Amino acid sequence: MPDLIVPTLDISDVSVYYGHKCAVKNVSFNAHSGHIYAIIGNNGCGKTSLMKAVMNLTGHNGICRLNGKTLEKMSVKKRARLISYIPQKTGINISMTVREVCLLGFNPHLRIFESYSSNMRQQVDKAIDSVGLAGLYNTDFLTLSEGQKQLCILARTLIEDTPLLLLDEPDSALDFANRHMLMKHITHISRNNKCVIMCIHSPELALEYSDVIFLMKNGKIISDIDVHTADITEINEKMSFLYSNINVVECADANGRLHKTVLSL
Amino acid sequence: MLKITNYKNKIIFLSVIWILLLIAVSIWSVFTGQYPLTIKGLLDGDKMMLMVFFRLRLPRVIMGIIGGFGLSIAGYVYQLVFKNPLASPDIAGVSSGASAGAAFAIVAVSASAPFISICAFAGGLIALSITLLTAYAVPGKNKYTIILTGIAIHSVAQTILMFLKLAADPEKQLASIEYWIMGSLNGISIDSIAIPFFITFIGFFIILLLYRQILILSINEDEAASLGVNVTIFRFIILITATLIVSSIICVTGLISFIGLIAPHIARLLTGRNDRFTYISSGFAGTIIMTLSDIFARSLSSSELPVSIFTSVIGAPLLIILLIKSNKKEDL
Repeated sequence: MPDLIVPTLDISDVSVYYGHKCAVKNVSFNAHSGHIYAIIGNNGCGKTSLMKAVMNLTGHNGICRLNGKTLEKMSVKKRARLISYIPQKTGINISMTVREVCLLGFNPHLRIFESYSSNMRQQVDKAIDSVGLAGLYNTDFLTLSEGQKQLCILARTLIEDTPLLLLDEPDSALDFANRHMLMKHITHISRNNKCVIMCIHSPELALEYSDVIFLMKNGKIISDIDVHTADITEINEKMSFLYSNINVVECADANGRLHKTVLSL
Repeated sequence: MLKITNYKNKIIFLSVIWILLLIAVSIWSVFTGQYPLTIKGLLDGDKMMLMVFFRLRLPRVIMGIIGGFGLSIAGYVYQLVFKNPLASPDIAGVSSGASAGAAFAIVAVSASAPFISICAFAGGLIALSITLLTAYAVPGKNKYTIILTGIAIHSVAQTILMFLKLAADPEKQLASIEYWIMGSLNGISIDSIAIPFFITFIGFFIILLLYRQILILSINEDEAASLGVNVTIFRFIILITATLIVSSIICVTGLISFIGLIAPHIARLLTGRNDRFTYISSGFAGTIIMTLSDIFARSLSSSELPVSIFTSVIGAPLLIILLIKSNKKEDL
């Protein structure tokens, strides 16, 4: 039966080369809005290169389409209206207030010399409130904790309001509590008909928060797991392609809700 | 000590301080010099005093204001775009290109001030053009490509300057070259102010209008692109604007060191931010340091001293005091 749903993101035969070294080899997949896709794999497997190819930040072969439109043919600004990006660690290293950082999210929607309206400032304050940073509007971004910084960038992403969110190891600098808080916010965002693709190191977080997991090794997607339908045996079998001796189990929380988690490696 | 917590009040307070300081140093500068000027004499229409005022003092004060302002805002932009607190106009080889141009004028043609200015401006522009063209021709370019190309062009310009110094007549031409390189507001005429004024004025507004893009360029390149800024194009436009401001000023004043480096830091330490007001404050800080330096350059000795000596003497302690007083960690 043909797939009647038009995919939000269609990655078709994407390869990335750095000189003669092939970082991503003929990767193809579809991703739909309202879902979270996790790409897991060891360091150097090509996750970040794939993200950069989707954002057209690196030269690549193949085509990336979003809602049927070819991303490679778009201007930087047009692409920014469709894709927002959360890096491992933001490159902001100058003193700016939390509000100023979030206002930058409006840039793709503004004309070159246009300035922010008071309505935009109100929207920014709401976004800051929604990620739990209420009251910190005029705080210097550099004085925030790493967790708060990522939440501030997440608020900026809310302002960008794009159909596709790319997250490159957004949890890497965060402690246990902040990591889960960030992931809960991301889950909440995806429910708003957004397509979320995140590179992540932790199989536990991928199993807990994503809908589909892509397993990446040596520049290729070697398998995928539908977290909601796959049984434990299938998950263990596929995870073992990346991690030998992995032990994924299913357990219930205090409310009786089932979770899949990694017991040991 | 007065502590202002509300940022809007801080803006009002600093704006008043800047304007009062600017008026004070400008008046002080007008009345400083070998020929004594008095308010009474000027109001009475003393011909000699009016001539000194309009032909010598006023152009000098205006050039000090334009020069300090322009060099500082350009330095501010360089530091943001290159994400480097030590960035200054030298980074694109402009200052050394202008020096080589000025030296060429002195050695090969004549030491007339307008001709030196034209050659210095051309030298600065040639250096900038070669730097940018080479940097953009390099595959896989990034922010370091411009810095590295700038270092290469700076070295080439320095070598040309060295050859010209060797070829110069040691009695007269060599001294002229050295004096030009040390920078001075001596002999500024009202005609020579026009070009720096218009370029600085227009450049200031271009930077102000593109300020959001400049802030985004201060983040890393991937993030800037994801926020919809075409890094290559905007970096080019902004650097060209900042460098034209610098070239137009130093071709008239000679090299004036340190202002472009220090004034932006002083402004940041005072505001604690990197917003448009800090950008404007950086210009005011530069203007005041430049005018004060010029006052000392012509009043502390019987012969006039180079301005650059005093920009460092005034700027460095001021920065150190502010750094000590600032209890906030500042990355840039």
